[in-house]
Amino acid sequence: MERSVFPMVRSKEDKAGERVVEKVLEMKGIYKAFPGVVAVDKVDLDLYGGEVLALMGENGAGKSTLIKILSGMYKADEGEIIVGGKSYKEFTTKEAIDLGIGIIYQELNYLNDLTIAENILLGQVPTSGPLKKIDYKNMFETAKGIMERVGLGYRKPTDMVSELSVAEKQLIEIARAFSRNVKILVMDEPTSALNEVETKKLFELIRDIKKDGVGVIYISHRMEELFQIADRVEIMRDGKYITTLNVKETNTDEIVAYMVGREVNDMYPSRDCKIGEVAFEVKGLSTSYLKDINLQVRAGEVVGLFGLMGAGRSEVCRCVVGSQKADKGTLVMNGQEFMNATPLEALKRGISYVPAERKTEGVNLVAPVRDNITLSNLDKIKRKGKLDLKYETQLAEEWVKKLSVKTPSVMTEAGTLSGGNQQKLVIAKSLNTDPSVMILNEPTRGIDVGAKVEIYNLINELCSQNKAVIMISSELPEIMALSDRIYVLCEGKITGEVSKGDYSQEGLLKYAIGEC
Amino acid sequence: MSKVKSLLKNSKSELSTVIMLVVLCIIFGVQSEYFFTFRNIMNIGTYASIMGTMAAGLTVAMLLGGLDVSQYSLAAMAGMIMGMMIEAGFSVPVTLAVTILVGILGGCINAFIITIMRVNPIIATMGTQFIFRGAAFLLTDGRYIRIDDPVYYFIGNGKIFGIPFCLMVMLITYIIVWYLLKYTKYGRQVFAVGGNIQVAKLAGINANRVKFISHIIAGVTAVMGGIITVCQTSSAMPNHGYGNDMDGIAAVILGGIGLAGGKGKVGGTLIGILVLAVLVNGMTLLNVQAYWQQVVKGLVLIFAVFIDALRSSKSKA
Repeated sequence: MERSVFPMVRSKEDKAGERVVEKVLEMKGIYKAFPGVVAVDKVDLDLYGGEVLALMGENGAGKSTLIKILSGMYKADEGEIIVGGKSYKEFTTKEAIDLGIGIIYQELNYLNDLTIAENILLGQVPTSGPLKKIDYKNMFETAKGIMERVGLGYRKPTDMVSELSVAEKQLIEIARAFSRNVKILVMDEPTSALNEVETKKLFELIRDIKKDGVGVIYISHRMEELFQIADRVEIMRDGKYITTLNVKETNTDEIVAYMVGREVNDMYPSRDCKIGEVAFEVKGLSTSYLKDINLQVRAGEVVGLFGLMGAGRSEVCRCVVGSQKADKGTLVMNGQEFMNATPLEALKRGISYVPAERKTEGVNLVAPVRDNITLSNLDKIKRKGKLDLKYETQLAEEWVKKLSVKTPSVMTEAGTLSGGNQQKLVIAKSLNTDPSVMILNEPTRGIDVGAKVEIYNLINELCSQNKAVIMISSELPEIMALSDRIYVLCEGKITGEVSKGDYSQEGLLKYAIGEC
Repeated sequence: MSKVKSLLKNSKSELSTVIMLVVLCIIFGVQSEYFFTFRNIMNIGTYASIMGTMAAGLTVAMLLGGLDVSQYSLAAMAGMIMGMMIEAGFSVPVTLAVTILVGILGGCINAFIITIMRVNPIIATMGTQFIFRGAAFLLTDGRYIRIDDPVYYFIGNGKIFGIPFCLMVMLITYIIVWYLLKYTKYGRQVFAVGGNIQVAKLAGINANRVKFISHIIAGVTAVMGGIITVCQTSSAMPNHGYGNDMDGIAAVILGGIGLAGGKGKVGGTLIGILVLAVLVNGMTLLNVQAYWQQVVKGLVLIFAVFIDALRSSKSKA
């Protein structure tokens, strides 16, 4: 079988030799709802051949869902996708590939124990004969051609992928997209794992791709990259299309304003607590990623930790609660300096953690509600060396009542409850340890509005009990409404500290993308 | 049939095994008038005592989401050490204490490989299964040791008020394991680690410690089974229990504890053991060839897990 090495569509040229820009993709009125939430609400997107369109929006704005619809992974409830002049209501991932849609995900997909050539030509390895014997000669030649194209020419197609650097693995992904006759290339945070030199190289490659008439959709949280590489920027917010701007005619402030642009409503109950002395302090916390994190939280105060995905917020928590080792740094509480080596130590010192990943870190889904609530403090239900199950049940029932957890009984398996109720179990478990410092990591992620408000009320109650609260949230309105002070992280560093009076979404986002 | 199906679907995991046990007893009781005699029931108990005692400890390891396939090999090895000590003239308490100690050591070795060396429990205990079995043969170069001592004979064959002593040992083991799992902090931690190790760790549980204790319990109950075997047969043989390695696992699974762990009761294991023991006893009474007994055991196991799958597919729907 003959196969061209660079099977790419070039933009048509008219008689005068000037390039006519054609629309390679049009998404019209895309609507997608999940139970309880509209992820993408009538969004339009146009992409021209030979351009880079940046897709911007906060976490949860609907970018990923839109891309997953384009990839064929999700089916849109409404809307149409026009590729190559033909309209589609939906297509499978296989059909998306055949239509020339190539997607490079944030998490790279490669098979470590196969060669570069096999990875590039995954799923379309050239074969011969009725047994579909792999035609190695053809495979390596084809791969070699594509590798030169993406700047991997110095490698052999027979090299193992496990020997490659992250940047090289990324190039494999791009090479794979090339091998599939790509007309539309989506890159989701492609530079998150690259250093500056590698990023530069990638941009050169993207400029090359543009010349071949490929349309590129580029997703990144890094504002400066947008001005380096994108031609246009489309902004989404809360699942809705907001606007599309020419990069040359806009600036960071305008883009951020469009990204944020919403009012904080009265979903957030007010709080009037006396803020006391410094209750807890993190001093000079460093790991291979975190750099010199310093923060303080006072009794009765809620301190927010804001940052974009990968900024290091969860890593700070994990170090503080002892589930990850810090290279340097100390914690200070009641004048004592220490570092928690295990979660047990943290609990004993009165630091309790509500993790972000409810199903993998928060709830034991196969255990009853009761056992989940008491797990972090089994000593509390021990009487004469024996677990007092009667008292335990009573205690669990009290928590269920206090947090209004909706469950048939405390012996119900936790996995059968709704997300919001599971989250309340995790919080109950944490409160049952009588903590003086509570760390809440995305406490309202993926739960419905009613449950959210209940959790906000609970946070306020913690403050009135003089507890110190550290809250992580990716939702700006939420973190702004609840926090007395916000630390902003960007790439493992604290880039800003803002007090309640000085909040602005623009300001916080600027810190979060390292613009200040 | 659909009624039966819905009954099975709605039953708790132990209940379907209980039903199976009752059905088996009825079938064998109708076929053989000897089946429901006191003597035969005690026979079943004696037969069940070895694998029953061992499976009580195995239950703990499997609740963790782990496995221990080395139990029968460890029992054989400990049995050989016991036999050699008796030959050398050591007293009964010293001999038994050292044998139990071998069980603790064996459990520690398994736990070390699983926690510190981070080898998957199935592979780790498969490895020690070979090692312990090999060691059992090496200890005496494959020679059997005959044991002629009234105390040991009593452990294996003696009766108190007509009830076999070894059956009592087994029942006491179950009571201890049941208490540990239900009423101690350690027991609760076993369920937590088996249910979700990440959650357990964040709750301040030292998962490795829990695994160590659990594998030690599996090791100790394994050698207890070994001691009973030696006493019942009045001989220490390096090939004791050879080919039975999976019986305990089958019983635990029949008892409703899946391979994933985190959920189940030791009482379920006891019922699973009874199903296997009744099956073997009843088929022997009915003169079913031993080879066929193996086939039926396999079918019963698959059927039980199939019912489990039916149930979980229903709860998901």
